[in-house]
Amino acid sequence: MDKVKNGPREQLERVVLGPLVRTGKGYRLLVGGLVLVVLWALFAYSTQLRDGLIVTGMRDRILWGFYIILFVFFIGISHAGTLISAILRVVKAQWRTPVTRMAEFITVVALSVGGLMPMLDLGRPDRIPNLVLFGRWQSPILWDVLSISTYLTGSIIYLYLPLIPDLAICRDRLGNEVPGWKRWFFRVASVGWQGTARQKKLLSIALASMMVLIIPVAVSVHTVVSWIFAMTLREPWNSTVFGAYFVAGAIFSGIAAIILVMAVLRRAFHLEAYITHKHFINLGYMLGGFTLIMMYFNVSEYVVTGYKMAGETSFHFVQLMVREYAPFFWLYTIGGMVLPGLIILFPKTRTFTGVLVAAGLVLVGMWMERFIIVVAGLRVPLMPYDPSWYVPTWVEWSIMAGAFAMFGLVIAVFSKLFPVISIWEVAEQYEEHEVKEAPALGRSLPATGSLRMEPTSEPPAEGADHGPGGTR
Amino acid sequence: MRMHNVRRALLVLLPLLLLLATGRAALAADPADLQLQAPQEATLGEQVTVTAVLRDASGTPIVGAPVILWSPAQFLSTGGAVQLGKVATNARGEATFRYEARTEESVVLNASFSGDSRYSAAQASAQMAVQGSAQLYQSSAGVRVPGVSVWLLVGLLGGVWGTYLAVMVLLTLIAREGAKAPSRAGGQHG
Amino acid sequence: METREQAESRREENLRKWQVSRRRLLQLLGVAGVAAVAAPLVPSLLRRGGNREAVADEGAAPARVRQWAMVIDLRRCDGCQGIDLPPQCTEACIQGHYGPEPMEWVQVYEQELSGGGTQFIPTPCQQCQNAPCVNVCPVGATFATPEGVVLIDQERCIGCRLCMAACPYDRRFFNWGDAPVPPEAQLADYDPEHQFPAKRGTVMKCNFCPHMARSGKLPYCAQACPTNAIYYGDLEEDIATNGLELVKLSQFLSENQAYHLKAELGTKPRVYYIAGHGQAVGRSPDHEGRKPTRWPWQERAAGAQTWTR
Repeated sequence: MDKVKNGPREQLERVVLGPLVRTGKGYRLLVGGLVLVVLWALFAYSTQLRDGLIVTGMRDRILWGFYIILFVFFIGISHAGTLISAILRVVKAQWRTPVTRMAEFITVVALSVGGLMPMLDLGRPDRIPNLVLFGRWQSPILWDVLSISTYLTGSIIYLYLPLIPDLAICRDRLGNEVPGWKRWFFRVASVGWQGTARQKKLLSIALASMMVLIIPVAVSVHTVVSWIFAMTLREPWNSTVFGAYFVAGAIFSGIAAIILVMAVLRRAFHLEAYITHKHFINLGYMLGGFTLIMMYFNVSEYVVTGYKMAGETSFHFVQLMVREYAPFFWLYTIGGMVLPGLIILFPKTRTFTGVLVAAGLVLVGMWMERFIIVVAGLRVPLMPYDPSWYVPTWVEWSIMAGAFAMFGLVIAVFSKLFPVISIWEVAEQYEEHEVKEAPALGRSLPATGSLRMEPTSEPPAEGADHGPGGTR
Repeated sequence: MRMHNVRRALLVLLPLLLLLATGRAALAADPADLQLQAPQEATLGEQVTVTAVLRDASGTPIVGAPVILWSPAQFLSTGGAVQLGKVATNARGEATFRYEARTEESVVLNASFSGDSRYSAAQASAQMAVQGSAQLYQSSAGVRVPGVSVWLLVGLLGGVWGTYLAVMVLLTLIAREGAKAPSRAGGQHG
Repeated sequence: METREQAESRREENLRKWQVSRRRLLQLLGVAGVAAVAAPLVPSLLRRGGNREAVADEGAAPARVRQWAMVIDLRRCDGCQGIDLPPQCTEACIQGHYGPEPMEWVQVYEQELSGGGTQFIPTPCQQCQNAPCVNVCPVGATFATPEGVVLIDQERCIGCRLCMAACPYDRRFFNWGDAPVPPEAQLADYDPEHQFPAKRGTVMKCNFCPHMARSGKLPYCAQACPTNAIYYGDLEEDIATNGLELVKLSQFLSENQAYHLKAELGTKPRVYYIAGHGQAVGRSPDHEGRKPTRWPWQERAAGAQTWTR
């Protein structure tokens, strides 16, 4: 048994732990580029600190712009991670194991970047301590502060728990191959994990309580984010469906983000054997399902308001359907929902590439959706004045680029600190698979079947000659 | 400056006008008699009934004549007469007003009939002592739902963070277990 | 040999100690985390205790509090077409409060009438009693005074602009840059009741001039109105004045069928309107347009920036 087990397992460890040891030229280039973009964004922010928010395109009428759009966007992405991994864990979907780590990781990173955005938006960032000194629990902003910090802490714990056995593997396997500080990190972070029965039991209790708890916390976060808008008396935001709409949109865009990040990491770290096309297709099914939910929400929202054409709502409806913001709206609905839905629907297009394209479309579409909600929503005149325009300045564009670069940078840096695939969970499945398969003689279980090595599914050219990170 | 002038002008003009009207009517019209019945005392914010009775010289009620109730007042820098109502007399010659005292201490109520083609103008006045100093206008917004308070939020957060804390305790148990267990268990992970 | 064993055991002991201290560290971290996240709620909890005392105090000292209100008689508002000037309420307010360009705390909107023609609506902050801005402010920088006036403490405002998003009357203004204000405004002692000098990155709006009223004056806008269309009053004493005449406020409102802007939103404004299009001062509804507002201290401010709304 031992020999049979050790074969794939050792290979798994070798592949997954590889990036922690070696760093290629492509990776350094990528990180260097991302650092440059982040530095540029910091420079842009410094001009905003110096001159005030006048350097942005926001004004009294359209008083939020890219920063709040990005806030909603990144918080949205963060949902996928934890929520998907928790839901998949709770329903015990077997194919999830190589996916969850990255999903949880994306959550933490996206949440950190997203949480930063409202701070960039503040007119007086120096007064952030006032939130603690004079906080009012009745304010949606405070709900955001509380729920996002709770969610961030929860998702860090939730990322960390299944990481402990893997860190122990790093501690034991990566002896002198890594520098001293990394060894120290692995030793400390693995909290003396020896894989004893009691430790396993304790960990599974901790994991079970976290995966149940994290789902309501995640749902509450995006509900509260939507309430920043829905708790005002602005006509297009004055909607009771906003909470559910935002939560669905968040998971939707989050799945798309996972698909794209996973594809990049898979290519960069040569994980083709573990993250197979099957995983992408499965995530594609989830994405397809959510296109239907999102379409339903849009029909609910726009058919009901458009049918009645009441007051200020009619202005919003018209500017979305046929006037100024029609390109954005139709790009979002057709490009970001219908088209990805169709790509997933037809078996011919439901391929690895197809899923990637769909995910890209969804991300762009969901960014448009947030743009429509924030900017077009604020454009609706409240009093008899001419509707104004929002034209983002170079500062806002730079900070947006910086936010995405930051997202990539943190992922790149932390992917060198711990394995991006949960080694022990995948290995556990191998073992289970063998135990189950032995008496049943070749009866393949569909769930675990996907985890078998599929050397033929990938072209052999994707070999070791690619530097990590060399794909982007 | 302008307001002061206006106030002074009003104070001079009003009696002058009344005087003029009375003088003219004395020459040309029948005299009218106006009496104002108002309670001597009222509490602040109390609705009182003020009745003005208009009769001619023989005591016959004058019917359908408009009577104005007004009171001298001062607000910010503006002083003058505040019109409190305008009511036509009924068959008994009575004009009834509902008055709510909003000013503290005493109020002077004046009723005036400005005269018409037949009757001369008439005026009556009454003083009313107003007692109390309670706040009358209270703005209210929102509704208090029992149980919905900051403590609900504290409880909710406490539950979540309590679970986090429990997980941390589990982690320390794992750490302690690791310290007890023989180190280097031969790569038995997972 | 012995020394090595001793060293080994010492190291193990150290390790054990360290494990224990690490456990304590984790616990400490957990407690600190809880404390850090709960911290924003502390002021609310403290204030709950404080509120009760305040209520008890009110019971002991029953002094009547003014409840400021405003009535704008649109029958008398011609948008200052009659004197061929920009709306004087807006300009007086700007001059009195050193209002930065492009802020018009009292803005005269021209609205089309349902049956054709236009009316002018001078719009100060509506001083809502169920104020959406006060409700959403995360730090209590926007607050309602006992007199029913909504003020902003620009020394506490963090500039999140949620209040601006929440205001259904577009009556809040943001200092996007360093606003042009004259030097004398810079020298003044800041007070939320007059709001100058303007502070970058904070929100401003009409403050209803309770400081003026306390010294027996009408607000700048009411003083400057050439047709005396703006009445300022006290709902507690039930009286109001436009500087010319005194009216019994409740009676004036009901007899003239006064209304609120967007009453359906339930914001309960303290500003009332009497419908009209300037007919009492001889304006025809077909006479459209008003002069643009002027800000007098544009040239005097060094290094100041203006922006469009």
